[in-house]
Amino acid sequence: MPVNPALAVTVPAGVSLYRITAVSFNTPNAVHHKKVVNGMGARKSHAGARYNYGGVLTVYLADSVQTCLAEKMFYFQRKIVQQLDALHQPLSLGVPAFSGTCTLWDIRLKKPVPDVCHLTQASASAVGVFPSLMLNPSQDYEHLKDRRAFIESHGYNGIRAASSRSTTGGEIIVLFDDQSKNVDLDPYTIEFRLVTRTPVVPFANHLTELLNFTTGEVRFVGGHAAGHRELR
Amino acid sequence: MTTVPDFFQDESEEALRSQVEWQEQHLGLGDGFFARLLREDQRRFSSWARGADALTRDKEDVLRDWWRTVLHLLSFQNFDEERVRALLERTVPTGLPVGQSVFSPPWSGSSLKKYLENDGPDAIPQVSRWVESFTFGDPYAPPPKGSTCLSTRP
Repeated sequence: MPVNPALAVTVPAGVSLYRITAVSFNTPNAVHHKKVVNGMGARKSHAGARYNYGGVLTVYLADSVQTCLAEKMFYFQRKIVQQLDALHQPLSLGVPAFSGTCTLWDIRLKKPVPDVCHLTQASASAVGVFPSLMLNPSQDYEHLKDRRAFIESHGYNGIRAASSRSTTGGEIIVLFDDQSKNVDLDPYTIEFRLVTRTPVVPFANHLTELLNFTTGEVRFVGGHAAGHRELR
Repeated sequence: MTTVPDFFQDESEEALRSQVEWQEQHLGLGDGFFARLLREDQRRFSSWARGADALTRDKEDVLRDWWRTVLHLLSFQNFDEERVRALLERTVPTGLPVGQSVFSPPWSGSSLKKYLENDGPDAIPQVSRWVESFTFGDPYAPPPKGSTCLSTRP
C-alpha cells in the first residue's frame, strides 16, 4: 500500500515544535543540543513508548507548548505517585520531591518533512488504528506500536496524531528518522510542581493533602544570570 | 537556565574520563568500582583515568553504556546526587521474587553498587530496563515470560 495522499500531511519548516527532556541534554556547547532529536533515546530504550516498540528510532515532538507540558505533566505525576506507592516496599526511594526541573526545547525544522500520516478520528481506520486507543490517556498500547510499524512500512515518514493528554486538541508529531541535521533549536529551563485540589496550592504533604491529578504548575526559569544554575 | 557540563553529552575518550571523575566526586564511586564493573585490573584502570593508559574499545563502550544509565538514574531522582548515591549504596531486602513487582529490582538482596560490581557489564542493561520502566514504560505491567525485570516488551 503506497502513501495515501488523503492521509499525508507535511510538517512544515520554520514552525516551532516542542519537546521536553532531562536537563542532562542542556550543555553550554550547543553542538550537543541536536542529540535531543536524533531519536536515539527511543532506539536505546527497551520499553518503547506510545508509538514505538523498544529499539526503534523515533523522535517525539508536540505542536504547542501547552501540548508538550500536558504530555510531560502526565509522566511527571505518574513517576511521583509511583514513588509514593513504593514507600512501604522493599525498595523505597524515600518521599519524592513534588517538583522537578526539565528542559523545554523550541525546535524548528530546516526542511519540511513530507508524507506524515495524519491520524484523526475520521482517518485512523484507514490504517487500522482504533481511535479510542489513540485518545485514551491512561497507558501506552501495543496496538499503537504495531500500527506505527505498519504505517512506517508503507512509506510514511511519521505520524501526526491527537495528544491523548491535551484537553485543547493539541497534537503530537512522531518522526521516524533522525532529525539532528534538520533543526535549529533553543533550550528553556522549566520547573514542574504538583498542586492540591481546592485551594490550589503547592502539594507538600502526601499524608494529609489531596493531589490534583489533572493539573500541575509549570514555571519558566529565567535564562539569564539571575536564574542561571549550573550542575557541576 | 540549568545546564550540565559538555562532557555529559560527549562520547569521546576524554569525556569518558571526565564522566568517571564526576561519578567519583559526586556519586562516591571509586576506581575499584569501575575496575570491577569492567573486569579490569584496578591499576590499569587508574592509569587510564590519569590518561596514561588505554582501555579496549569494548571496555570504553561499557563505560558509555553505564554513563547513559547514570543519566537515567539522575533524571529519575531529579538530579539529586544524594538520592542517587543512596540508591547505589542501599541494600534492598529480599522481598518478592525478582520481576514479580517493580519494587523488587534486579539487585534484591544486594545493593545496586555491589550488583554492578558482581555481575559486571551484564548488569547494566538490567538496571537500565528497571529505571526505564518507571520513566518510559508501564512499571505495573506484568513482565514478559522469562524476563528478569519489568518492561512493556521483551
